[in-house]
Amino acid sequence: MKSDNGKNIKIIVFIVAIVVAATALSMGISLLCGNLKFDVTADNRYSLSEETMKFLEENQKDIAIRLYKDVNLSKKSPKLGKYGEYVQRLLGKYVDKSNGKITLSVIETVPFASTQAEAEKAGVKEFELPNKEKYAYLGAVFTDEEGRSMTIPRLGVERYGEVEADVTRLLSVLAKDKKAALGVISPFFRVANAKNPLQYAENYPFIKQLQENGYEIVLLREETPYIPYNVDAVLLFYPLNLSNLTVFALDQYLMRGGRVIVIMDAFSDRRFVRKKVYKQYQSGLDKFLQNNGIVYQNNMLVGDERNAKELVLDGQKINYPLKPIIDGEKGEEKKINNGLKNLYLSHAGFFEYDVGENLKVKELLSVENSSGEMPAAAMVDMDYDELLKNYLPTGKKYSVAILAEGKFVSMFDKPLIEDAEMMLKMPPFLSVPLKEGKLLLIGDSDMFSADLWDAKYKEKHGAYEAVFISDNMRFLLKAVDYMTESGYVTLTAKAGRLSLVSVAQVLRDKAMANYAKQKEDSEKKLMQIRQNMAIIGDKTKAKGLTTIAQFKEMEELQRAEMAENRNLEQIEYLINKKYQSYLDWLAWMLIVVIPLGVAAAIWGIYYAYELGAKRKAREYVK
Amino acid sequence: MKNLAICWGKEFKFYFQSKMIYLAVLVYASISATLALYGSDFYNVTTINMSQFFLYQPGVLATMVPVLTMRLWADEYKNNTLEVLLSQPISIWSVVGGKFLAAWSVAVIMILSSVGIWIVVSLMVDLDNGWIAINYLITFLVAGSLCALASAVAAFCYNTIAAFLGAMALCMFVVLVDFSSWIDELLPNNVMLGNLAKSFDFKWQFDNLIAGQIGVAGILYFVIVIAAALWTSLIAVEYKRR
Repeated sequence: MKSDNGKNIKIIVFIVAIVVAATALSMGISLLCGNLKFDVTADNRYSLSEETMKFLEENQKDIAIRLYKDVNLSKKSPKLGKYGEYVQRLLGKYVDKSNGKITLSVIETVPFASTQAEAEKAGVKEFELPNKEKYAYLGAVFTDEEGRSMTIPRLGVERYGEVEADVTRLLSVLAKDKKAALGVISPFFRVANAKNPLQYAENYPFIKQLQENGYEIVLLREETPYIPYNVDAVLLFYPLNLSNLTVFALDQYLMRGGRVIVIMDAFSDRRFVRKKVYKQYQSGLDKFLQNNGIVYQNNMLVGDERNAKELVLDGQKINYPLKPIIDGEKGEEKKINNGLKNLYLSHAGFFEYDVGENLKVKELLSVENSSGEMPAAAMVDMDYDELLKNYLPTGKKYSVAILAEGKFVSMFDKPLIEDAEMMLKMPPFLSVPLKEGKLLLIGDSDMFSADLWDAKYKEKHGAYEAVFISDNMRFLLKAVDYMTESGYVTLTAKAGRLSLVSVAQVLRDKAMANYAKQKEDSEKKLMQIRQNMAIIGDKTKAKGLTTIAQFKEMEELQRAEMAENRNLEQIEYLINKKYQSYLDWLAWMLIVVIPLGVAAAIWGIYYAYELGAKRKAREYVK
Repeated sequence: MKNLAICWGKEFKFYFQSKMIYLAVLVYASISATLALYGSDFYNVTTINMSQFFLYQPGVLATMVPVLTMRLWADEYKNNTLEVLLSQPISIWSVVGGKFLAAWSVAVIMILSSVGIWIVVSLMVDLDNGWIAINYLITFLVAGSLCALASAVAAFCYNTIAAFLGAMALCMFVVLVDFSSWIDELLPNNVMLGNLAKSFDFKWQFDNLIAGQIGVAGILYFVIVIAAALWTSLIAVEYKRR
């Protein structure tokens, strides 16, 4: 008995020792190689890009990230919950690679508790969930050692491909001591309206977006004698009949090695919608550009038939070549537009150039092969069929955006201002360039308007940036980054493969496909009936009384409408029934048929093996 | 090594002869599919890595693996065949290892029987097949750890029912107990202790591995569990022999 007890104690000690040793070993390994991880996903969702890695290696500032995540996020929205986990892991990757400079704390927000109030105070906004459940939070706040904060109010699943770009950009803005300043001259943003200088910014959300992306926006007067020293680059948006004084300021700025982005337009959709009259566009910069061998064709519009945007007009789909969707030019040196896709243009003008040896021109956006042109003056009325009669396919290469770098030729041989007091404030006059300047010319202003940006997306879906349907904003952002030499890290979106198509959706589509023809016919009939009803209604209104024939006809139409509605309801019912049968079929397949099949297959294989063994044994006996 | 293979072959064949494998495959594949389809919003939220399927795997395996291991040692003790077996020129390590590998092989076949779900779903939606294949490998590893733990419990039991219940209790405890949450609750600000708790948390390690990042520490964790459990089995068999 005593020896049994001794044996038992001995074995218990042994087992405890094994458990302790195993625990200690796993803890040690976790501490030593916890960061050694390999990304196995097809879209490299956990791999940080080269730009991010370079930033993290060079960053010397302590930055704290607070991820606010609803405590019941997965229950409220499984999709958002999964995405929240992914973002948390991705941010963990930043922390792992930052040499201790970046810290991450995950704060679970509890409804009506202090954590929720804290999240709201920091700028995190709630998600509107399909089931109307409020207070689902998923956002991030980035704070540097000086207490400066930047926030991603909502980390939306839709921006899966962009999340690394967003995070790295915010970190890189915080890592800089001073924000880069962009001077803006535009008839749309008037300094004179001191109360609300950005009153038209709703139409052009890029200004607010640039502010959110870390830029200080300095609005300059349209009539300005010089460009201030504190400005890192100038953005001239839709310059309209610029005065000679402003052209002088820009000319001198470029002579000093300044950097200017000019966004022009041969036909502005926005302006046309407002004024309803076509007027040839005059920027006021033509002479300066011509002086340097560049011409902006402000009376011709460029199109692309192969990459034309599809428009729906009177229920018919047409490919409209004057609104092409293009990709950025490829090439290592063209950092501004590398990797950009789906750039939406709308009635753009184009540039032609023959510059001297002191200037180098890079093409950033162009249309070729299936290209064509149309006189801007043809845009008198917006009847697309009529418009396209003036369109001429040419197959030529048209440059919609170019970057000119080098020493520009001045238009002026003496200062335009003779006021001595003013001259003291201004930089000294230069008739020859002191440094190499940069001039980025874009031939379409509508590509930055709210229409092409889906700016409302931001409010509706909570995306950090307004851009979603195109890369237009990213193009501008990269251009401003390049021109201001801000050093902010801009990345292109990852090729997102986050599946947004569900099995339910696939099965529903399949079920609908069975009744598509019937449904379409029924809907057409219903539309026809309603049109007829409207015609009778109009006639009755015009005459002021209803005839018996009209009354009867109306009654018949109403009956037909009811019958068609019933028909549609029945089709919907049949679709749902079919969908349900698909779901049942799938469940039966996965839960019963496949397991039985696999078990039978294993039995078959073993049976065949047994038979083989028996045959061998019999042969051996023989 | 040869002895190990012989022991493995003998045990592996027994699963087919006893028809246990067919039942295990049938039950496992059905439970896995049912949980994947109805355990979470599978139809409406289809992820590219079939995470709804893998999410329940530790739990399902914790239930199924004891079925595979319950008679590993009990029959040997009951029929006194262990001594006969060890009288042959094979080491005790070969016997322990062979039995464990046989159970693990059957568990792998059992897991592979769920590949039908993968094929059917991939015909409907776009999946990240590489990621899913890796997740299957991780599930094999988890099954291996549970087989080793269950085998260690079985090595202490003379009775198959006791072996089954004991192994299931241990597997369930290991899979379901969330050490890191306990530490978070008890000591919310102790990050160091929280991280240490995570390092031996079975479920946390599994969730971390199937999320798309293969961590060396995670893989080693399961290897350590297998090694420690096999060592315990060895001690248990030695103990029973004396």
